Amino acid sequence: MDGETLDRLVARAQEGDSEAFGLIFDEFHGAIFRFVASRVGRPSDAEDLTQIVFVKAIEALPRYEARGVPFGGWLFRLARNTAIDYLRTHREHTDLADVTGRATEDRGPESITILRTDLDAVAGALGRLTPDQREVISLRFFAGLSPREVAEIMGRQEGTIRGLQFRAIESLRRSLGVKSADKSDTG
Amino acid sequence: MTEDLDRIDTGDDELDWRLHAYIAARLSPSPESSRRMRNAVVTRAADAAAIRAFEAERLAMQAAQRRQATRGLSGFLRLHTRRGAAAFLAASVFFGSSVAVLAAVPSSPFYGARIWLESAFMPSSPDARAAAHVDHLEARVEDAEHALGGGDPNGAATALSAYIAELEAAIKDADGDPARLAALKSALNAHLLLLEQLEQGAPADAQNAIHDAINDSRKATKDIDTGGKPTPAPTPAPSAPEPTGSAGGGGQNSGSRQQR
Repeated sequence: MDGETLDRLVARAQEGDSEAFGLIFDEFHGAIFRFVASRVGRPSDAEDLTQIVFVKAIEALPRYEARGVPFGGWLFRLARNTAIDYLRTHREHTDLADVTGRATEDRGPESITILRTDLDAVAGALGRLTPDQREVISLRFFAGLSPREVAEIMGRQEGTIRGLQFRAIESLRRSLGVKSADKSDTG
Repeated sequence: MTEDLDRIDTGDDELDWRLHAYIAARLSPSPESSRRMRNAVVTRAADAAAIRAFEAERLAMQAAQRRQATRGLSGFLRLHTRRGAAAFLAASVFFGSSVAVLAAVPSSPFYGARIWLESAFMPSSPDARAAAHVDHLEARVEDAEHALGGGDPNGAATALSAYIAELEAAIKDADGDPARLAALKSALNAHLLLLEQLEQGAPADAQNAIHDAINDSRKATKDIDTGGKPTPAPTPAPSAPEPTGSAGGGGQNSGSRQQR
């Protein structure tokens, strides 16, 4: 969805058009869910929190002004604050490695075991990142944001985000035993 | 910006692939989950739109009533100008000051005087007093809303402090009468919705005041529901505004809660 279409939908939603808000939900809910799920672990909690993020957005929408803050950045800031509040009060959140995914459901027992082992390894490697590195990976690769957008949401310089991303990728490579490749563009 | 996961590029194909697999298996909402969330969110958006439309209509009606009252005042002033320059000057000064006081916003030094005037000139009939209290409560919520909209959290806190004092006076004046309490409860329910909306995203300076107003309104509606006679804190009789006009200023909001 291009920026102009999104702006029009936001304006319609601000005027009380709930279906316009539904289209905004369709556009962003996947990315918000992935970001929240990567922070809280449990899929049922991720669903509740994603819903809370959008309810907060409905309530704050009349006061949202596009000046200088893209809607997506504004929404992810709400998501980030919601996840932080949740983690503050639910310290026993599920470890990433304990979550069972849907993609394993359609496979045979052997491939399930292999896939599960691999997914657990990725979850373990993510768990070994620092909180800042993990948040950068979540926003960059799970939510699909640009380094600039991540910098705005986390309140950091874009260079800092690139540095955190670089170190996080190195750490993931080491943890997963992935040999360095020659591709130079790391976003 | 979203859903564009193909652009994941860590600089390493194998790492990209493993992250993709991880996202697909463990971080993506199922279609059922997406449907559930969408239904809940769209329903909530429709409810919020209905509440806002209702509120907008109510505020427009109030604004029309105020404009009508101001026009009446202007006509009165025009009548008096015919009675001589001296009378005109005196009337102008008097009414000019009154209009300034009656239109004072929470950040204005005249806001305390406005609140005092409103409470000093309440109608004597109990039912009319109850209706006036409801009007004043709505005006305080509106003041807080405008103050927040204008980036003035202290003004919002001042207005909500006055809201709490007005609520106590309204409960006291209702004197346990079921009809007056029912009308008050109906107004409080609408205020609660508005206050909860204001609380979301309000700056920290205004959060406590909004929270206090929500708590007091909830307690009052609960007391009315349970049929127990509400027990308001003693409300002091209206006293003259301070000469500096800061009676409704930022100090009032924090002070009132500390005394409770």
